[in-house]
Amino acid sequence: MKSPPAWTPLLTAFTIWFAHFMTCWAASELIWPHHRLANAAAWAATALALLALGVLAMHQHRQRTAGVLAQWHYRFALGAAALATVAVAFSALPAVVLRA
Amino acid sequence: MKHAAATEPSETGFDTRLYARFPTQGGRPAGEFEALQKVWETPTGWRAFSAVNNNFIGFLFIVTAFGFFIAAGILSLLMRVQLAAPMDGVVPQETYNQLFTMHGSVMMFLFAVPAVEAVAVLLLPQMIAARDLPFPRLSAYSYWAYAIGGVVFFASIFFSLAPSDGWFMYPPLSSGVYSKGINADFWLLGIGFIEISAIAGAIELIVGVLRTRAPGMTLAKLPVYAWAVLIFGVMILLAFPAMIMVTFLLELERAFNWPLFDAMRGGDPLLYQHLFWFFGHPDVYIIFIPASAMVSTMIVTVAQKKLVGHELVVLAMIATGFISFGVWAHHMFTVGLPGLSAGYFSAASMAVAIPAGAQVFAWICTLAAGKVQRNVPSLFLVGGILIFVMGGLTGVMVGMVAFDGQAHDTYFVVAHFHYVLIGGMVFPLLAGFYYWTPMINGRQLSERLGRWAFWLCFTGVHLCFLPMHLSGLMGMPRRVDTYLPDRAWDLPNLVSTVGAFVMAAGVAAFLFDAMRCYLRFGSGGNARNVFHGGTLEWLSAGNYGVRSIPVVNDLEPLWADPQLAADVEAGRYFLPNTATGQRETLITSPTRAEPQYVQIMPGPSWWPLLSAVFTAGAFLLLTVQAMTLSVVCAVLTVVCLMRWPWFNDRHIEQTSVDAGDGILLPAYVAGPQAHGWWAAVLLCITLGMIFLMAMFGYLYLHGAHADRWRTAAPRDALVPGLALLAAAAGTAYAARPLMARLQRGSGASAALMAASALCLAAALALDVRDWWQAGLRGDASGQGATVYAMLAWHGSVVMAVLLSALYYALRWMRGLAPRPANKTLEALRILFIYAALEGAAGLLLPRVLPWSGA
Repeated sequence: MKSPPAWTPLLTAFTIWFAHFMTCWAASELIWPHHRLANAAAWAATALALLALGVLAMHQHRQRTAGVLAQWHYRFALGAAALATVAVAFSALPAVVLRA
Repeated sequence: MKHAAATEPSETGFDTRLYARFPTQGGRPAGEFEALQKVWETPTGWRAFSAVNNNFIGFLFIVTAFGFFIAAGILSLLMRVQLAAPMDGVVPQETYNQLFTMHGSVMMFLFAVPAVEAVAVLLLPQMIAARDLPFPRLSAYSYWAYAIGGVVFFASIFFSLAPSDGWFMYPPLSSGVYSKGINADFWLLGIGFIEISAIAGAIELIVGVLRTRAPGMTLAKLPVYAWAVLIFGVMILLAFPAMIMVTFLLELERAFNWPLFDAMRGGDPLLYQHLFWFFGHPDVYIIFIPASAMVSTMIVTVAQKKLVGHELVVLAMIATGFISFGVWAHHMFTVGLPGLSAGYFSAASMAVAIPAGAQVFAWICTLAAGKVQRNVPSLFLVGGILIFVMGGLTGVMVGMVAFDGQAHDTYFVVAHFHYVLIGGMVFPLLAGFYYWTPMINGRQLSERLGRWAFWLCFTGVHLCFLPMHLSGLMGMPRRVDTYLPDRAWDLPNLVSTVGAFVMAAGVAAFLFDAMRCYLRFGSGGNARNVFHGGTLEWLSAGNYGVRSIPVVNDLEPLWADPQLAADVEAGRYFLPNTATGQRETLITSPTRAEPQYVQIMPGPSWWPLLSAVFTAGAFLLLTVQAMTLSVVCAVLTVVCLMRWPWFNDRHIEQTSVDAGDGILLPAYVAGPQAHGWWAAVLLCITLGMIFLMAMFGYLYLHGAHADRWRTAAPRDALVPGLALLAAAAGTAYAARPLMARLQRGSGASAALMAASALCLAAALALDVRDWWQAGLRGDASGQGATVYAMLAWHGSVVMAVLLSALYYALRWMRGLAPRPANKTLEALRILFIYAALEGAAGLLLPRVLPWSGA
């Protein structure tokens, strides 16, 4: 297994959050403003983002087991994944409780 | 344990077991140290203006930024006098409008961002044990551009030419219809110019953090302040392009009547707000993150305890940086956003409090776990934390859509952001002045005066801004020059005015102390590491930074190895001399900080100063419509910018040099290993972000006013345009391998670069002609305005490419483009390939969306 570039453990999880946020926002304001489709798009984006974060965490665990991810990077990556998961779930709340 | 870095796998092939050679034993050759000092000497007399060293430029930068803080503070005092009593007539209404616009603009653009950037220019190289930042002339240009542009911009208030539309300059108020005259243009061109300075500084700092760290300073050993500077720099590159684009668009609307923000003609004022706040809110964190890292650094020393949760703090700063890009529209809750959209921004606005709160808890835990020194820096630190937390809590309040609807545009919001900015940035900065002054000049600021300064500032902040929460909740709007009596606003306003003057007295006490300390010329004092800090900046002794560059094994190397300072000073580590007889620093790898090569650094030069003077002239003369003079200045700017790096890229006879104890490192590297290549990539990322904002503008207006999209997209230029752009990218790409392979490769590379530039220009001309023949005009509709705005921006990039091709051809003619590789070609071909990609995006987007044309 190849050693990942140094920036990937630091940034990937937050990049997933950002992509999720921008998708939800674009759906609600630019593509389907005031339409239920915007809510549905947010649910789909949230499911995808959470799935991606889960896959990322597992991948990083495998990298750590294979010895290609340093302990410091691994701890950092797990922290970032945890924060991003909370942020994704929290960002998606309006799509559950609000009508478009 | 002494050389832990040596136990992990190498990133570059450098044998990290060589670290074990340090510290070397025995004495150093006579005269070595004197030669080092001589090479790094700052020019004296009037030649000092040509100095480029980070110590000199960083200090000037800080003094200038603080000067703007004082100036903007005086404007606020005038406002407070006007508001002390109802129906006061001290300041006329139009002047009052100029005062609040200039106060906000100067504090945000000329003080807050430049001040944190200035501290970074001064402090970062010392903290990572670099001799200087990697592009010292870029630092000098960044400073002079800022200083000249800032002074001219500020002086506009003395001639009633200052802008008066608020620091955010919203259209339609700032459009040509409602803001006649050149006041708004002063803001647009002046601020746009200062943004260039900020971006130049950010590129310098990012490359500095990633490539000039002391050997062994891996990411895990990187000081929290250096992390913050890295995040700060990246955020500037991502956020400031939105500001550059929005000022460009508004200027296009004002100058050419292109209706980008005119809803009646297919534009939209909300586009301006989206773009402005996509810059504006991250800007708050751009200011806060480095300041918070200053707090983290100082708290470690104040508590004499390692930072509790160091990794968590770094993670929190990165998270804050990301989430800050998802909160911009909380400034727009009252404009009628869809409820769901407002909900997302509200959630993100609350979420951003989590990482910020994590940092505050880390500080509190560190203080609680350590033995706290009771001195002026600790007072400012604790006071700042308290004020910042209060501002943060009201921030969560205004992050709620329903509450914001009540408090929006009232003094409650004024109170909130002053608490955040003063607690999150001004107090840490003042703490930093008291903390790092002994590092700068070997003297300490007065403890006694410092305590006066602290208590006056601390009391003044609360007296001034706490009542504003009340006056805001009682309905007092922002930006009013007076108010009626009998509305119960009199007392809180009077108290606020008294508080403003108390705070000013505190700042005056600090100023007096600082002048007393810094104006004592002659040899510096000997009060160095008086607070017993553990980071490397306390090793710094002169313009050359450290006598020798140490191997780092700890977050607080001076605590981990009490002998380190003496060994460094005795020249027992890397680069104890000047190996090539010129200014040098060590370039290390980005992750593990392994030595890669010795960078020969440019010395003092007039070209950065002259470039800044003429750039300022070109921009600012536009505002008074002195077109000829502006063009002359633009041409002179180009000449200076070409002349400045002319001799920076040259092969030297020594292919490798002794970097310390016989370790040989290359003295010239081209391609992805070179620090210049990294800067070129960062520049292209910035340009890409600017163009992305232009594309967002197109998409936004298309979504908002599709009915105004009446011109069918012409497609005649699509295939030939794309072919030309592919040829441009291909020839630029091929220039490097062909140069290496062919006997006359240098000439071939110059010819290919020229061909690439011509292809780009031809593709642009085809694109413009296509739209023109289709009948689209910039002043006709939002569609025309956005299409031509994209083309105009791309045109400026193509112009830069043409000039670069000319520059490279001139270098080849003078024998300065040697085979098999040179840094100039490597950097330029990245720009050319980027320009081709940008051209393709600009060609495709308006033809693909809407696909059916109109």
